Amino acid sequence: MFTGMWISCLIWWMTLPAGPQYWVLASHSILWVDGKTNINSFSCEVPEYGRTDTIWTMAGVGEKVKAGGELSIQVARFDCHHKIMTKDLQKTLKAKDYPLMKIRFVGFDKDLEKLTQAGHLQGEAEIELAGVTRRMNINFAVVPKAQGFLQLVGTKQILFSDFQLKPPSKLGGAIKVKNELLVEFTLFFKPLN
Amino acid sequence: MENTQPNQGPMPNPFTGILKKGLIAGAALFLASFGSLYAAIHLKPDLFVDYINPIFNSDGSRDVYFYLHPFVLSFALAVLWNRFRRFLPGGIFVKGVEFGLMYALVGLIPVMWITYSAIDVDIVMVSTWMLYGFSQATLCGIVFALLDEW
Repeated sequence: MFTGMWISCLIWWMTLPAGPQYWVLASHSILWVDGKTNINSFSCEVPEYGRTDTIWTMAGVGEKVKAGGELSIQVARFDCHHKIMTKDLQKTLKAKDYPLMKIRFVGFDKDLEKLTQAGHLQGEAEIELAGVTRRMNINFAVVPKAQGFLQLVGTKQILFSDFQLKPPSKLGGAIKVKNELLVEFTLFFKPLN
Repeated sequence: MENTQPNQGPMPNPFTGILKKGLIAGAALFLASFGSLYAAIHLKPDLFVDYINPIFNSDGSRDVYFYLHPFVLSFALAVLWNRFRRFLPGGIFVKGVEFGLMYALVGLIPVMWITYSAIDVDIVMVSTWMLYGFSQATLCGIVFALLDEW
């Protein structure tokens, strides 16, 4: 009887979800933002995340993998390779009032730990910009890299209006920035343990 | 004593003349200014990249003022025309160009000079403002001269 209970406990323990897996986000991760106006296009980047952060993932019993942890990107680090456009973007994103853009991971459709080959995964994240938070699905291309790093390249089309921001317009609306922005993240993760 | 002056009829009210000239020239200026602005943005977009700059209002809150500018300018120039038209010889076109040059010399050059010296804008941008202002004043001068002929 004791053996039976022991085996039942073992089976129950085996079905329990594993503990969280922690991942370190490398400081050389990059963020790009591409946009268009009616006279040109612009591309702004945060060339280096500049710090390390930790996120966690936890494979559940179901299909979804829970995730947590956030990235805080300084809006002042956006560089549009044109001093005046950089200033204008930072003003549009209200960098003085909201100096950080935050990305909070909520979940993935696959377990990062099991990704040993290049592939795709879908992530769910909350993006906070100019004080407004929106939950979004982001498609990532995953490429395992040297030294145990996992490269996640995510792209997402967002709208200024999603974050209650008005795209700038100049000269009475003769020059207009379009509402759509393409955001691309290149994130480098490494398992912590 | 007998009045030897010929009867010239009632003196025209200068304010009516200014109002009429200001409105007509303002409408012409509105069409020409914004027509040429939109055409220039379409044809030479590179020239306008520097306008994506925080010094230019970007939230649309002052667009009405921007579009009223031709009328503000035409009324101001109508007052100037009323005072100085007698010093402008020649035909309609010559009068217009002379009027434009006078405005550029008195009004534009000093303002553009201080703008370039104090604000972070490049010489090409300031030069286009200068040319734009001269063209606007010339157009107003031509319209005023035409209205005087009528």
